[in-house]
Amino acid sequence: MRLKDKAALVTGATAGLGQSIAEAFAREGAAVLVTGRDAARGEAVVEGIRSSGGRARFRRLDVTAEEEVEAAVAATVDEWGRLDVVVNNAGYYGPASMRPLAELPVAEWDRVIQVNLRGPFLVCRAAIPAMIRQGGGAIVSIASIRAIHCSHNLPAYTASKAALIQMTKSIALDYGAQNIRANAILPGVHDTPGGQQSYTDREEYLRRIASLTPLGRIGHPSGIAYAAVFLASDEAAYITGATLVVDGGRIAGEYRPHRSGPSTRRA
Amino acid sequence: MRLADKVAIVTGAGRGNGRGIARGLAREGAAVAVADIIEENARKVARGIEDSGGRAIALKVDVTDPQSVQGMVDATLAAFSTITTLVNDAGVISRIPFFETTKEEFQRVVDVNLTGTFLVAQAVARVMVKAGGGSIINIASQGAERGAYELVTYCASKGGVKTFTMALAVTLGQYNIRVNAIAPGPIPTDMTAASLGDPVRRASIEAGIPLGRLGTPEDLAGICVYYASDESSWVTGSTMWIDGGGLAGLARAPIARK
Ligand SMILES: NC(=O)c1ccc[n+]([C@@H]2O[C@H](COP(=O)([O-])OP(=O)(O)OC[C@H]3O[C@@H](n4cnc5c(N)ncnc54)[C@H](O)[C@@H]3O)[C@@H](O)[C@H]2O)c1
Ligand SMILES: NC(=O)c1ccc[n+]([C@@H]2O[C@H](COP(=O)([O-])OP(=O)(O)OC[C@H]3O[C@@H](n4cnc5c(N)ncnc54)[C@H](O)[C@@H]3O)[C@@H](O)[C@H]2O)c1
Repeated sequence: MRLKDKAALVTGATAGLGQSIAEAFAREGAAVLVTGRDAARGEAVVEGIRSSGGRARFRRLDVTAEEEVEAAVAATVDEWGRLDVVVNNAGYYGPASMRPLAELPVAEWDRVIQVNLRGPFLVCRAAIPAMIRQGGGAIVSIASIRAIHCSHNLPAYTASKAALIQMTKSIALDYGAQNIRANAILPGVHDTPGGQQSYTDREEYLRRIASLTPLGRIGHPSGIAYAAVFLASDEAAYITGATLVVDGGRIAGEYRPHRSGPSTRRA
Repeated sequence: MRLADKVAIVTGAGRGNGRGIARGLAREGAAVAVADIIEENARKVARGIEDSGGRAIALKVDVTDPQSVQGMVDATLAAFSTITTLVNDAGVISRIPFFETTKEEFQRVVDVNLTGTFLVAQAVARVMVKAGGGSIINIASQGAERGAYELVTYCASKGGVKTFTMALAVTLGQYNIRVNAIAPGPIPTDMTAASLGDPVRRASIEAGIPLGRLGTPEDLAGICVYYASDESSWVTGSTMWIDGGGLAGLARAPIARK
């Protein structure tokens, strides 16, 4: 078990990638504070973890609410005596924010930045002192490939995720001496409830994503969970201020087999 | 064990980083072909792995020689029937100043670090295509991400390794072959004895690393196990920094503040 004796807090863990991360952490031996805004779903995630022998608790947490963030960090320490790992997973790219900049309502910009950047700031700000007290910790932030490889109609989202990466590096520099590591995962397109808002015809959507992806399929949330386990574990003890791209090869380069044909057919 | 069904070739595994990586993969259950141009070193490492209960063979290879590379691939197949994982670790550095660097010296470094990586990847990928997939891990360097003073030749070769990795990832994804790189910071090995052996220089380098210490070959094992395992089955074209935070930015305030 790679996260034995560690206590972790995961934001936005009631569904999607966050749920998968919380479940994987528990399988690897960590005690997990499953947090989010939907208590019914959160309790169900906790129930699932417990029924497979893991340790978890649910706590309501909207990452935009400063007091709730501080209380959640305190609750983790109260419950398990420590806080070793924080995963900044909660994120927002809602349909209303997907438009070019001049058409973006100011309130939408604010909302995206609040959840994706100010949220992780508040969580790290509350968690770091607890980590320092116990001699170290690991922070894993879920950014996006869109932080470094832009896409249409996402001015607020890409900006927020790029800023999240730079904030992560800043933590790595400032708290390395206290043995706190901070890294970011950059997911490509994953099959989650969040992603499902962006299509109507599922089959067509999956085909399109597959055709754009060198590995020929959409991402499964477990891949992000494994990446997070690795970065949170002591196997990554010398990794900080780094990013891990998990995207099936999407941003590695131009992939157009439909135009040029597979070039290596004669393998 | 996370790599129980894997067979790996690790080039440059006779000492230093390659040795640490080979041991790390073997610890997780992979059968390892320990390949190096210095055969005696490869033998010692393979024996060490077997003594701790792992599976390994030692092979002599010159990664710049296509025939020698094919021989390594054939010998690995003869011993373990398949190849699922390749770590391109064999590498050399040049410490000759830029204005004294000859065409021959530049080519010597590019030959091992870049052409060697290409030759081994091509020969192994042919096997992986037939096997239905695989994972190739190229050891790049911090020097693939930024320049280093008077290491022009080395940085050029490692920058090549990084974009080679990305292009190959895009090219071989259709065969379920994943290609990733790691970019380690300075690690005390034979390669760096000349620079890190100087205590003043070493202390100054350490002070520039946020985690406050140099890396070790063992530090590279975890990320290689991750890339080799099915946990990273949707990860390709990536370059993982493993440098204690060195590339993230300035570890120290450049100017003392009050
Ligand atoms: N799914 C993808 O394809 C993809 C790709 C790249 C990055 N990401 C990132 O991964 C993370 C998880 O995404 P996902 O697709 O699993 O889920 P998602 O888009 O459905 O939403 C993420 C989670 O965050 C929660 N959340 C939103 N606002 C919150 C707030 N104020 N406080 C607490 N929780 C809040 C949501 O309820 C949800 O559970 C997000 O940060 C997202 O930006 C996802
Ligand atoms: N040590 C560091 O600070 C550092 C940092 C970043 C990257 N790297 C990279 O890590 C890798 C290993 O370096 P190291 O520090 O362990 O150095 P090292 O010199 O100890 O090991 C290199 C190994 O490669 C072998 N080799 C050299 N030429 C070969 C050839 N033509 N064919 C087969 N094998 C050959 C050597 O015999 C040796 O065993 C290299 O690619 C290096 O560039 C090292």
